[in-house]
Amino acid sequence: MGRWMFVSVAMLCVGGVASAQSGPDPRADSAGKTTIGSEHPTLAAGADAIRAGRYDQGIELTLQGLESEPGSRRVRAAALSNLCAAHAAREEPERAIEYCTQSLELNSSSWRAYSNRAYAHWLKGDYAQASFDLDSAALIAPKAPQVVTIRGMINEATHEPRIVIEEQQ
Amino acid sequence: MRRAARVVSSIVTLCVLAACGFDEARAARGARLDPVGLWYCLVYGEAAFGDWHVSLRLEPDGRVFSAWGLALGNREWRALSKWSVDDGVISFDDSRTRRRYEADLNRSTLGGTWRADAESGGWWCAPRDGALAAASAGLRRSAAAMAVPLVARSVKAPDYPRQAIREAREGRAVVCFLVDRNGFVVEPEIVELSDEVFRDPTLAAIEDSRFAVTDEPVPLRPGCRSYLYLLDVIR
Repeated sequence: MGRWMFVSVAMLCVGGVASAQSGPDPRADSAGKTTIGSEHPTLAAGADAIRAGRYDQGIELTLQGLESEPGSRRVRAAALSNLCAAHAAREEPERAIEYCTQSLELNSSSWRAYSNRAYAHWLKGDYAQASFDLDSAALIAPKAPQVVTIRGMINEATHEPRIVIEEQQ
Repeated sequence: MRRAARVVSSIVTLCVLAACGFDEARAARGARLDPVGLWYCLVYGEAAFGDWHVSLRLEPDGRVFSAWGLALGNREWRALSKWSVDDGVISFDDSRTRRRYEADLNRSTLGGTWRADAESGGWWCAPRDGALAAASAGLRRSAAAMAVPLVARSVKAPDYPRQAIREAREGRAVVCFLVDRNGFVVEPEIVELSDEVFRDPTLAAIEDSRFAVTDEPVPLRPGCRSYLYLLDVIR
């Protein structure tokens, strides 16, 4: 269930395809979405593949694109965030965390990278770190569906319900 | 002649219905509860003295009388303020305890909240058959029957809603109900609810709960139960 949920989450966290909207995503964050456009065809193809669930292909194309298609800091940050999402979807949290961290070093306002890294920490069972990263994502994009979903996953893992019953008679 | 007989029959039927404080048909139709009559009530929430039972007598002329437990004689009744209804809410005051009692007459039975200076609580009543209470022999039998305590036979804990865990929501629900002689819960109603998410699991839990069966010919007995929904942080 958790993995299935993250596949959906990861898809939403993949930044940019040629056909995606170029303006800010009103559902998500005020920082907007970085579109990897036609000037970076390999990176765009990598993003498409990851979004479609073809993680191996997506990872390969994105790595190729990062080497062969120099782009702005934001474009490179988006590509690294996509790699993070792909590795997290493959339940490879260590690699995912590595790429998300690199992405955040280039663009510290990427709520998607924080969100993806939060999920990777959740996979490892490091709920405190997951919560910390998710708080950062929530500061930028509090209503992003992924943020709400991952928060729910963290709460389920870290809270034990208890019911106290009292009779009045 | 036949018409007169039908009229008389209708009047008798109406009188019988009026003598009972609880009319299932009325409640089902959504009509307001008639508060006039005799009631056996559970009053809860008193911090110092806990919960207790009182009898309430609401007269058609607005007078209200209360008595501890099961009132068996006229001397036991104490006058409270007159009752009044405003927009479907009945209210009356007890000057001795400085409490104001209120109840929503759209409920299936008489019950609601009480407030004093710095305290508040709730009350829930089961109807007492007015005809029985009027006859001393019947009164003794009714009183004895009413004295049969509610003993929980199975207590079902509600399921903590998953949505509430995911959103880290805690809360409290108080449900009041009547119990029939077979120990089944009837007419449960939520009287306090901190969060709507806890309504359905609370009602499901109380409806699945059972009380001890009694051989006494008891009418319905009032009870209330509170559920505190808590989340403990485990890591």
